[in-house]
Amino acid sequence: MKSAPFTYYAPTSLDEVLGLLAQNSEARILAGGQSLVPRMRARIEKPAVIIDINRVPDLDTVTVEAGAVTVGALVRQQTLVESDAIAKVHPLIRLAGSHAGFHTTRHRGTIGGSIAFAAPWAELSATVITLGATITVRSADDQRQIAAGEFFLGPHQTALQPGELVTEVHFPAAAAGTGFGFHEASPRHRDYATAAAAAAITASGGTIVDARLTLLRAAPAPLQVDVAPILGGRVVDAASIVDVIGSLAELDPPSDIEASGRHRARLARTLTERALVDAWARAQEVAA
Amino acid sequence: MQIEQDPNAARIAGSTAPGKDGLRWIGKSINRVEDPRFLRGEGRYVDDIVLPNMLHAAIKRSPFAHANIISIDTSKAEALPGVVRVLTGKDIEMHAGPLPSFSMNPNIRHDMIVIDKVRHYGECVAAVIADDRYIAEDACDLIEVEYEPLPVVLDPFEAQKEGAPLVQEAMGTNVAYARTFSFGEVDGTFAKAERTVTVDLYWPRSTGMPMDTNGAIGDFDPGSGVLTIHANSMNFTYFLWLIAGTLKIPASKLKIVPVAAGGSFGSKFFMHKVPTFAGWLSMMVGRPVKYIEDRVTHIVNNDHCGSDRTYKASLAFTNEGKFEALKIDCVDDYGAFLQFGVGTHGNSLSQICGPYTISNVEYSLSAILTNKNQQGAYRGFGAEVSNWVLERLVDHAAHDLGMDRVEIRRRNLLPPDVFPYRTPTGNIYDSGNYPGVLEKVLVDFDYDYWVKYRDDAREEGRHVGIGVVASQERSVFSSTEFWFWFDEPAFSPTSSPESASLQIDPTGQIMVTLHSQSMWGNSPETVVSQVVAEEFDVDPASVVITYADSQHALPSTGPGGSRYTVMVSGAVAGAAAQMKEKIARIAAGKLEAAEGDLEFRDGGVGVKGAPDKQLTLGEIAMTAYMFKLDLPPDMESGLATQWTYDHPLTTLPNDDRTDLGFFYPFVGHAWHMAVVEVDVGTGRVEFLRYSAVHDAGTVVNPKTLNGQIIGGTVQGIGTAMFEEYKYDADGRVLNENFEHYHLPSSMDVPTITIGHQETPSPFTAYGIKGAGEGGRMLSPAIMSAAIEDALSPYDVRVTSLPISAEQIVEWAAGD
Amino acid sequence: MSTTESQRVRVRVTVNDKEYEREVEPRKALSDFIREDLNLTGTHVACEHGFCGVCNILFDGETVRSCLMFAVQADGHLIETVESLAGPDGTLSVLQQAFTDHGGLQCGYCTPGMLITAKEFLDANPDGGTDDDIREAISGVLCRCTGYQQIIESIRAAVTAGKGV
Repeated sequence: MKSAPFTYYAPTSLDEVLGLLAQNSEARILAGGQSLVPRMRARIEKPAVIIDINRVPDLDTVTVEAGAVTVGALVRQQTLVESDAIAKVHPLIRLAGSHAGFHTTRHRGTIGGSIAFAAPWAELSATVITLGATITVRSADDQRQIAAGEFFLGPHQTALQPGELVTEVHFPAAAAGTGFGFHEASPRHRDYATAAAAAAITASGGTIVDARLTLLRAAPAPLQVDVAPILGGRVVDAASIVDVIGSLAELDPPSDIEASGRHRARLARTLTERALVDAWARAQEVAA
Repeated sequence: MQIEQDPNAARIAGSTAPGKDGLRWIGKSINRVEDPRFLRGEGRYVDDIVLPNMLHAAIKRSPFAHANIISIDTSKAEALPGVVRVLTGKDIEMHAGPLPSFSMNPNIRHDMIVIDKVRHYGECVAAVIADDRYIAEDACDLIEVEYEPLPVVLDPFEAQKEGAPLVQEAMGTNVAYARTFSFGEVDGTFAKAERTVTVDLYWPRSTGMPMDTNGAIGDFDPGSGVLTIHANSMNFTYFLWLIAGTLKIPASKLKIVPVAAGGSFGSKFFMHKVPTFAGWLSMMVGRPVKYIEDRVTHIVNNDHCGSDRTYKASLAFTNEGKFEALKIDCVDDYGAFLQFGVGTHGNSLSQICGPYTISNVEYSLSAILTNKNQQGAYRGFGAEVSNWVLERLVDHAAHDLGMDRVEIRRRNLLPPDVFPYRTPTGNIYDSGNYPGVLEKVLVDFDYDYWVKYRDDAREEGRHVGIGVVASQERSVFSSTEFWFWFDEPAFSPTSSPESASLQIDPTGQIMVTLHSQSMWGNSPETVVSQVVAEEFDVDPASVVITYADSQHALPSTGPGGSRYTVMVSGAVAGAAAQMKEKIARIAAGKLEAAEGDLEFRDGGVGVKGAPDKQLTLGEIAMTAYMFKLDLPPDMESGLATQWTYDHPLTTLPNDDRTDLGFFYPFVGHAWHMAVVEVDVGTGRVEFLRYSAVHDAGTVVNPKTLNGQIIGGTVQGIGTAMFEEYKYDADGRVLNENFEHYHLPSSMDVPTITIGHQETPSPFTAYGIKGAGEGGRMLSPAIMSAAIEDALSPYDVRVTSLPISAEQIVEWAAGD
Repeated sequence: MSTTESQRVRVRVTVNDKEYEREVEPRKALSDFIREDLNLTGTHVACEHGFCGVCNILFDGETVRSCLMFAVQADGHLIETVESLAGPDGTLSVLQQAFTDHGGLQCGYCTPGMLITAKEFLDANPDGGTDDDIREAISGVLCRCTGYQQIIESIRAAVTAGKGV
């Protein structure tokens, strides 16, 4: 299963990358390659032009400052997962990111690549949304920021326009007293998620002041569930969970070779409960 | 019962039977002699071999499951730089014969490239030979095929109906075979039975899926007309002449060179397709051609899928739980071709009543053709499926009675004094001590502890379940199982031998030549080395093993059906006996002793009780090779022997097939017990404990046997939990890569504790029985039983595989 | 793309402490490059679409699936393959010896990928690790023969033997 022929560029500056992107509408960006290259080997994709961005300097910086984390698009997923500095301020990144494939694939896979590929099962999609991250995107003559919550439009569909490249992701500091939970179901260990739930709960004075929930595979794109109004002023207990689950009654998840929509709907409820319980327990730990 | 083997087999069994002194080298967990080269990455698999002037091939696969080929335009492919030749079915029509098959049905013709009609998704419709594989694949993309899609038939029940699309038109039906075999008094017993249970069961097709796909290098020498094929597939002498027929060359001009395989599990059992194809491609261009299946091609085009069966099965039993009769109705979805006939059901019939005292059994079989790839061989070859069916019936009977599932089995186990035991079908179980295995596993597993653990866990709301399974492990198939299905078979062979050549060179180095492609992970060299060591008291690591190509090979069937260890041990023992006779005559002369006073010890031969009266094997060999006048006058020079060891115990079926004869007589016995915990929210299953006790007669190497047991068990877990060919409505395989065909990873498997019992066979060399398929014969039934038990609050019945996470969650949700 | 001139890119790579320089088509997979251009056939391919780990190599000291990289990406980098493990005279390393002592291989096809992945684990865990750690470390490499148990025992033995590799 050999890739079809392509013209190869290995630019050494971001401007060069963006110029090439502007000139070659059919080009694909090669970052980690863990999602793109399997498709090329199966000849599902036959890009005529490959722009290898791995030699562009300064796209892989990691900055942790005052609880905020800024990472370049080329930061490897394993770097994100292993970093204690990041885990200290944003534990969800390690918690969810460690489910993304295997350490071997994370040695190459990048955060920018994951976000741009926008696989509907991508743990990092749920992570950036739940943490309210901002994604910086550049083209040859423009730069803009896109809120993570507005970035993912569907399976492999993002707000990226032609000629645009993800260059950086910024995670603002989490509010004090925030705990996180993440649960996933997959056919085998570390297969693509059949379903997943990422939760963040901020507690103050013994009750919830903010809550976020992002579901994978409950809808075509990662789904932000508006749980703050339901949980605000309460605690996570049997009653509040029933109410949150109740708000999921209209879910119509996709069916595919791995699972039916019905099963994904059940998983959404189960994993939501588990993620919320964990987030609440951890919120109380950090509050204490 | 009195059983007589042929005199050669009887002599070898008798002379090697484990005596009270025990064995010196057999039974030791020595490190495998194969390991060092594989650990260094020097295994020389087929894709590692490069020949001068070699080209590379790729195939174009059909995207349709059933379609006429209207036209093929190869012009763009041929024009691509680096392409040497593009071949289609037209070239097959002109230059090749159909592929060989065990089914010998003239109406079913299988070709290397489709000639006119595609019958399953992934069939080869064209081939490209090019300078490298990259270009060959580019060229395949440029071939334009015009298809006329035809209605597809995928369901074996639909396929039997009037008006269903015909897969093989010349047959006029999709029912390739239908017959009922009855042994004993079945209907009457069911009519009078105190109790019966009936289950509808489904076992889906999966496949062996080794990490190394099938591959071969054809190397045609136009000068001599000899076609050499380097192949990682198995058997060659068994049907070399059939392959030669496909290639339209004399068999004597066909030289198959065995190459180590990275696993097979049946998928390389019948070398009719990939090696024949590579040979043919080479003949078409007059240069070496390498053809290796890529993974997708292996999944959809390699034709060794496992069984795909729907059952209605019934067990008649008493209120005390004694089994009386078994009725099995099987509809087998064979796919588009029938390469093994219905031989996979021979495997079932070899042990259809399991280890139990059931005297009446009826087996109805329909083999149905559909637009799927054909079934082939996958570890168990059909017996693992009927084991599962039987054990499901036993569990259902236990549930019906409210009886413990170990107890119901215990009540029906064949006792140790019935062997050799004639099963209702005619096959025998050569020896056994089944209660011994049960007692051992109960202790190893600590059954009472886990019953209490499960009951306590259940009260806490946890879903813990126990599974217990007893199973037979038949070994060493006879060729009769492929043709006793027909009252008048077109071809009815009774040979399935294995050969070995033995040579001791003038320096005393022992060399063994094997005559089949036998290295695919099953340690043939270690087995042979240990047998040689046993015979001659030498260090196993000193034995040199070589492989003969087919032009130099003696008759040998190769591995499969857990036969290889038994058969090659017999062959080596036979060659060793002749060798030792010659050595003894030479030594007797040189040591001036009687032959009967000699023994083989310390790498030489000496007089018993006289440590200083000894000659090394080197001294004997030097004499044999170089000093003719020192030999007995009637003895020729040299020290080389060979032995063709036939199946040591096989008999013919009778005319009306009420007695199928002995066709799989060396039968081991095993129990597995396991504890699982099920997360009913996600459907994930975790193992808390897994114990196995196997009795496969004399064990040659416990470490390698354990590896086979664990590996087979895990493959069975794959079948039970993850693996299944999935099709869309048009017959396309949806999970044609590893993204969606899920193999067990290290996180999906238990840690298995293994115990051994050894009840030797009276009929084989050293009393060895084959055990290579073992674990897979039991674990699907274990998983079914354990999960069913774990979900007992929901009164679930496991009746089909795989047991998916979604199914588990749905059962527990009950909505 | 059926142009007669295909792009050639120079690759300079150090593999097992030896420097190589070749010119390759950009689409040449790193796994094929190692096997065919460098004649190091110890690294095997089993799926060629990045789902089995059999083709694992060490790339700048970390495991990567070599079938998912192009040879051109290796320019200027360091690669280690299974051929680097044994001594120059073929003496098996501690890890390799542990595999043969404990039945860690049957057909041998996944073995190079397993050894490389085990080596990475041993190097990264000088104080050893639990069986669960070992099991997780190899979870991205498929083996169809062994059921993994004797592989885990082999790696555990190497851990105990003092982490020499």
